[in-house]
Amino acid sequence: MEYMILIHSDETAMAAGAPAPGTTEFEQMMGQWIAYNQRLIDGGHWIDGGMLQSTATATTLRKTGPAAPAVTDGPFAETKEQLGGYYLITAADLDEALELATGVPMPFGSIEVRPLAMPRTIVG
Amino acid sequence: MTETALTQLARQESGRVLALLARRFGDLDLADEAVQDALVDAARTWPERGVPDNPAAWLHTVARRKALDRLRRAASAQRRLEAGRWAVDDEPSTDRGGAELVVEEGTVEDERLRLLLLCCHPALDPAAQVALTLRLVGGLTTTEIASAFLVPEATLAQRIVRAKRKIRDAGIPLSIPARLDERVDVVLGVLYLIANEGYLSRGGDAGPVRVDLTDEATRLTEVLATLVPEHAEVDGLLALVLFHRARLDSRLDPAGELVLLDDQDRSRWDRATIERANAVLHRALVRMTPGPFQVQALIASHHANARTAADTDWAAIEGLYRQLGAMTASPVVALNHAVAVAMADGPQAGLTALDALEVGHGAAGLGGYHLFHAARGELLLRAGQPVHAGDAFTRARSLTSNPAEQRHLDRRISACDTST
Repeated sequence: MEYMILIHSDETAMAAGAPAPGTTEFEQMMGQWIAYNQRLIDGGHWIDGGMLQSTATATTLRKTGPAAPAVTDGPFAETKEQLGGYYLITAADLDEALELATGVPMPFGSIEVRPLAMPRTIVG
Repeated sequence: MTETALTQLARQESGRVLALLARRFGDLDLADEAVQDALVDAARTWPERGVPDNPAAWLHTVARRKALDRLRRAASAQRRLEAGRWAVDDEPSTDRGGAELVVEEGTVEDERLRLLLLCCHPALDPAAQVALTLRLVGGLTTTEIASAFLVPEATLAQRIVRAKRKIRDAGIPLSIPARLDERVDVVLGVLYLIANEGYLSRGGDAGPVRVDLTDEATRLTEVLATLVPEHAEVDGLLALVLFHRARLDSRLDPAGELVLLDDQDRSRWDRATIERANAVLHRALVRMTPGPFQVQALIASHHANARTAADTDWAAIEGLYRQLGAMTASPVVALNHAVAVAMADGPQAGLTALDALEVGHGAAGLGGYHLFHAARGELLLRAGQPVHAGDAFTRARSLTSNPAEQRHLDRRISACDTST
């Protein structure tokens, strides 16, 4: 099955606590993410994944019918934790997907695991 | 076979059969439907043709055939839709029918454990875990579960449908996980909830169709104890539910009113069940892996084994509640600890412990809990403050919806009035 791993966290707190590029702490943090990505690739689970820029960069289109959508600045909903990144993986079942999601190197936050409604065709 | 005997068989065997079929067809819903079909067949044919020699094997064989019928029907509908070919494998050659139940008992037990773990999967809503466990492992009907938990049948049916849909769509597996211990803890939590509901709700206006949840919890915990024999906490819970079971009949007087522990007729306690509980608890304790269910069972054993209420070793119970509090950080446990302090060291010490608790956990936690105010009332009454006690009982009365508890609190309020 294919699962989407949606990574939510408090982006303000994350930004405040994030180590500066060039420091050993930063290298350590990046190393954890690279190792995690490699784990997904080596296990044959990797489909896609990425980190999003902050919700300050978000633009929301509100569609209410045939008329042109209303364009607004910001995410679609103000929440305590924001979607900050995702992985798209294949896993045998929910237990394996949860096990993989547990490995996401996020110290704090909420990680939502949801199955895709229809299997995608994996190219390559 | 009478209808009751058939119900009995459904309770005992349907969980096993369902577990086997769910595994075999990889489809929980299909297995459930097939077992229900088979039970309907049994209800129709057994009274006429007599009960088969091996009813469990019969149930398995018929349910398997029903599942294949359903698959064939679905397949032919699919064929008509797609005008393509989609055949269902006929009986696989490895199939030994009902013999599976008899020969490979080990496999059956594995499948039952898988099913129990699936019903108690942490990805399912807790209310759904309880309903699914009773329905699929316990073999209870939706009607029985709904009336046991005093929820509308439609609500409960919906809960089960939603949970089954999540199992299918999210890909929750029928498997024994690597970290079995963590998952067994969830199963224990579900069984404890069922047992507790059975214990507390006894005073409710139970209708005649209402099943005894304490009995169901005992039965399911016994099943779990055979499936996971090395787990001390499973035995801890089993001992705990057995202690409760042994005292259950004396909790209500002939008029259906609640009787407090101190006032219960101890000659009506079921000695044989207490002895069994003692043995199970001993078996758990010698493994030297303590846990909250074992501590609770120890507390229950002090009560169950005291010949009179005055013989109760409250100092020991107080220590056990302190231990339990450290393990669970539960405000309800802290409340019980305060009551034990009062029993060991007098009402004033108990009230001090209660007051500390209100500060410690915040009034929001326990202030809405009727037993907190009921306990306060008892201690105030014993400390010679009937007016304050009356207020506390009145507060407790306004917070419970259980009719027997309400009547009990009414009697306590009158007792305060006569003391003033």
